[in-house]
Amino acid sequence: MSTSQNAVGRSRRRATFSLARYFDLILTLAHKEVKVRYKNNVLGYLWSLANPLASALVFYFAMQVVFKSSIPRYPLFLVIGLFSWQWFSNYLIGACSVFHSNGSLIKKSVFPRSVLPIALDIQDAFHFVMSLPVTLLFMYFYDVPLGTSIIAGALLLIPAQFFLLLGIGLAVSSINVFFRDMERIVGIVLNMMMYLSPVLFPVEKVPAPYDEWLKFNPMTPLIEAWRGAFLSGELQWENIGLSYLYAAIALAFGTWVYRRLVHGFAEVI
Amino acid sequence: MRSSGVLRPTGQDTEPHLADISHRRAEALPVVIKFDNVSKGYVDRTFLAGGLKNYLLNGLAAGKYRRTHEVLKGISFEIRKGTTVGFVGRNGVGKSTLLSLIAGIMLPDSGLISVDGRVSSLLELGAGFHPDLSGRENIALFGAVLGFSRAEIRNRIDSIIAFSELEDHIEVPIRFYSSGMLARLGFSVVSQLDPEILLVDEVLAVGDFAFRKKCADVMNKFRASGGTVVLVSHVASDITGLCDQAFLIENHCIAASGDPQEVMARYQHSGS
Repeated sequence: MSTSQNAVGRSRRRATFSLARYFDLILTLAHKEVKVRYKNNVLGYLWSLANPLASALVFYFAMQVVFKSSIPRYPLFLVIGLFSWQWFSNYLIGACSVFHSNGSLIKKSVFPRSVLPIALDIQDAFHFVMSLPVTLLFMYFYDVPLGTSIIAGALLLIPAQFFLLLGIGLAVSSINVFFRDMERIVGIVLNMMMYLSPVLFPVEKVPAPYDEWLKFNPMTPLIEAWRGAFLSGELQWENIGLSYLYAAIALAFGTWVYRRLVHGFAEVI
Repeated sequence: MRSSGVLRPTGQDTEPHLADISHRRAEALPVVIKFDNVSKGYVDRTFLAGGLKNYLLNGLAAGKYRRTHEVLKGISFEIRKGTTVGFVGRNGVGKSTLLSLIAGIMLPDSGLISVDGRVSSLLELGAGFHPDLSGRENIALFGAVLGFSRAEIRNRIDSIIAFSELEDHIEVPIRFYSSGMLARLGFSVVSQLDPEILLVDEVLAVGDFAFRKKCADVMNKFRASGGTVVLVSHVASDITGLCDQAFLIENHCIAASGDPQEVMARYQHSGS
């Protein structure tokens, strides 16, 4: 039998949630989300590919056909950036409302609330992994050699992006419980960030004073490293390292924000 | 009005079926839930609705304007192991907040709460269920939210389904369930996952007669095995029939405590 005491300003010790149960809950929730998402769709998984592929087509037309940019194998270039970006933006938009959409759970039961943004991240990571075969298909089509760097790159970069997103997601989701304005802000920032990340263009195309600034965008090293692994078959250690640095900063910040705000969730939602 | 309700031992049994558990009212039983001068207030809704605006207008000082609406004031009581305790009171006096505090969903603003044992709450049946998932999938989901491992749920899922008597509909998405069926499913999960303290918030009213009887049987069995039940209800028969002790909450404080019949009489009297 366990004793727990609630003192003022001290968090309650949850003896019922061991680490194993915490992970079981995360897996169950992520599994549920994936299942729910496609349960009522006939085409299921294909829908998660439709959006980035449609964007790729439009951007290809705008950049290559209209503006005559000279990036080689531009569709492949786009698809790599867009799938990674899609994970980033889908997750953050979803994270804003993750606590609200599970409001009845939060109000009525006790469980570590952090499982909700974590499960959502796993779900979006799953969709990203499921999109990798499409990228490989594009590579096959453009005769890009399929090397082991792809596997190594994926194993290194998926965790980096996962934790980067989790950190940012913990922060924005917690803040959004108290300030609904947060989801508007995130929407605008994501819209701008898409064009300030090397999704549509390579970093080398950015002229002198601005290319330094682009480095402060946490998605820059990630997308560059993804392209390195897929297009040139190399592991860009500098970008990979920078990605992990950003992930660590985001995670520390996100955890800090979450821990400060989590106790008020049930009252506000 | 008393600002704190100290547990008053009740002498005689009025309900014959309670006779077998009357010995457990002895003072020697360990206290499993203890509230010591607990107060809880809610952040003013208008403050929150302002969102970012408040912080822009007031800067960091905006934090000072929080917590204006007191829901519970100086609540103290003790609940002993194996007893069934009922809380009555009009809507909005803080009964559900009290259960949330026991469950640990919320933290008190001041005072000390200690809870000894695994709490399962039936605060709202169907909370945590996803409408697009089948009954079976929802059992797994709800069980995980309640803190059970996947293996534990897998071992018990058959007995849960059997208890709910929903075998014919268990693979159907629960958006096709009636509210009574949802209540069955929720109660089945909670009751089959052996908690030590059960919190019940006016949910027993939804099931049909046969299922209500089944719920009452489960609660009696649960109590007989030493479980503690905390119940919020307006139904007089629930309070007088099931509870060993009742508390009346009025004006956010405990106004009366003790014998369920007396407390219920006072509640019905004050309501008129």
